Amino acid sequence: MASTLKKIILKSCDGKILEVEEAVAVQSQMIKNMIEDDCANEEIPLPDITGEILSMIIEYCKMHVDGENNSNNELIARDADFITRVDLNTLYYLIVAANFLNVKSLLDLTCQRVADIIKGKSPEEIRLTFNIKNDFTPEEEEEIRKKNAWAFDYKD
Amino acid sequence: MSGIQGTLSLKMSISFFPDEILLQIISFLPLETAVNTTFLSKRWNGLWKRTFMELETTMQDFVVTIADYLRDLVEQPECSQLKNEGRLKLKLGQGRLLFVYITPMGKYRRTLRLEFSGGEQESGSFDCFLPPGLLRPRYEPTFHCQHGEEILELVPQLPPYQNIQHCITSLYLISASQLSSKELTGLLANLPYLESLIIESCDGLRSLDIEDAGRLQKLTVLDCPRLQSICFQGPCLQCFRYRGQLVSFKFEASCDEFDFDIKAPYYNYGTFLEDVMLDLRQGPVTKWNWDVRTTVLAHGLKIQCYVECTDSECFKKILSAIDRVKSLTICRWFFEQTMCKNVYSSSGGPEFSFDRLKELWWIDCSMGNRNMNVLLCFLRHCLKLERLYVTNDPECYDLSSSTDKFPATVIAPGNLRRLEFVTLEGFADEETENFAARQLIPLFGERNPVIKSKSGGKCVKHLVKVAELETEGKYPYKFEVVENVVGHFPNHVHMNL
Repeated sequence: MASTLKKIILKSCDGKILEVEEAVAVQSQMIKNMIEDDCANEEIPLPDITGEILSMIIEYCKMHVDGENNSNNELIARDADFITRVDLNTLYYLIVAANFLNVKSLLDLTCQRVADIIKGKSPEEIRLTFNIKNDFTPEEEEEIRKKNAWAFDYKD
Repeated sequence: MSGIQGTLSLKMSISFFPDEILLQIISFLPLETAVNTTFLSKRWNGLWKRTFMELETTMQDFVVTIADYLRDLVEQPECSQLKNEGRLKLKLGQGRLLFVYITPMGKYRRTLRLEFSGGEQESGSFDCFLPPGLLRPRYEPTFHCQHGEEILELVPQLPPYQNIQHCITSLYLISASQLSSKELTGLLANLPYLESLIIESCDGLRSLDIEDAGRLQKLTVLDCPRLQSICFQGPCLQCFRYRGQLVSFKFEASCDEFDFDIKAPYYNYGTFLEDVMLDLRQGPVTKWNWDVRTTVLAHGLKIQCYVECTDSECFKKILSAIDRVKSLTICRWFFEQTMCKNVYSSSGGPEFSFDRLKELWWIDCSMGNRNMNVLLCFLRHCLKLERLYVTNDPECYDLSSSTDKFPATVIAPGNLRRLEFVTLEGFADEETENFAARQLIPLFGERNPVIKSKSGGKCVKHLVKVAELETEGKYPYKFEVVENVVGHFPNHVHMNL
């Protein structure tokens, strides 16, 4: 019981210090590894994560630890509620942070969210949404279109 | 946590993500959107191909592996929500890979695409045999009148799909080899709903034999360099697309299960080809022949029409097999060698016509005066034509000696009222381009001609009217590069293959 009450201290890139219960912190595989290697006794600096993003991630991890006894559907509903409140720019930061901290369920959730935004859009619409520059020449584009034409061959 | 509205000052972009995150995102996409990401930019191009679920199997067992996967898709629909939907990478041992794609086509039908790659190139040749086992269509007899004669048509009808879940109706075989041929025959025997078969780049394929093709409507064979013959027997073929050397074709349009009297003196069935591509620019194999048969079996009475392609009668038969075609691709040499005589009756009257032809792709090795005349002759029989595509490919095969004497001047038909545009492709210089355009302008009759030219796939030029007539003023048009093309010029449906 004592170990679950142990606090882990995290420091964001903008200097914000957050104290987190170990049970919450170990949702991050990276921190878990540090604890196991006995490197988590002092504050852990997180160079690329802002305080705001870090708070969100901790909120997410808490939600999962607290909700352990809840039904799967309830968790899914909470996840959905969490993720739909996030705008695209924040979503990007969450993905980078979830990837760095290695919080697998959050990485899945955020990537799934991006996939949901992509789904059903044309390449031009996807480029517009995500601000991706089309760097193909018209000939290259034609070539790629031909190569993949089978996937759009015919629909009902 | 209310009001998280991106107070983060620095603008982040998806482009900053490492590949592993992009791959993770793509793996959540269904196959058809995953393919879409390949068009985004160079960075994204091909990324989706790294998101396949990998499985180890063997050359002997891959069909079972695929069958299991398909069954899972049907029995556990929630699986479709899983990652990497519809894409598998099978490791077949010795470096051989098989990419498997399953794409939905509407609610009930699925496309299965098998792409072999890797491993040592096998030199062995093989024969592909599509065994009987396909479900048969029902027949709906309809009568229609042609030239005052009543003709019975047995139009095959496919049952609706409601009762079928996730059935494979379309199969692609890419780069299949001798080693996999036996297993593939086994796979084919288990796809009773197959309606479309596409065989591509199978280097060792020597012959393709499709017997009792049930409801198969669409057959596509592309780039199989060692192919010698194709046999097809079935009642439903609507689309036949072929690219490669001219090989022996044997078509048998059979219809042996219907129970009503044939009272009409003429009947027509099995030859409802609407889409025909014969891209034979590689020329013929040494020995080839065409063989077209039609068989009807009713009340035990077998009526068989059988023609071997050695005389003009046979090519008449081929013509009558494609007279309902809507999209056609044909090479000048092939037309000239085989069908030309029949299209052009001695009386000069329109003995034959392609009444439904909407888009024509004409391929020739050069478009000089004589060859242009062959095209113009052909066009006389295509009065409903909407789009004409002319490709001048110097690599295209040509007849060693011309078989027919064409009149020195052929006047272009001026009554193609539905013609929307003409596209010229592969013309080496302005002179030949202008010559072709000049011959084709009359097709538009009184209307403004819409002719565009594409050279080397790069700049697109449009024929425009010159305001000031040039000297003599006989030809008031020239090609100009147009920046903003007004209007829509889709490719011929066969150009994307």
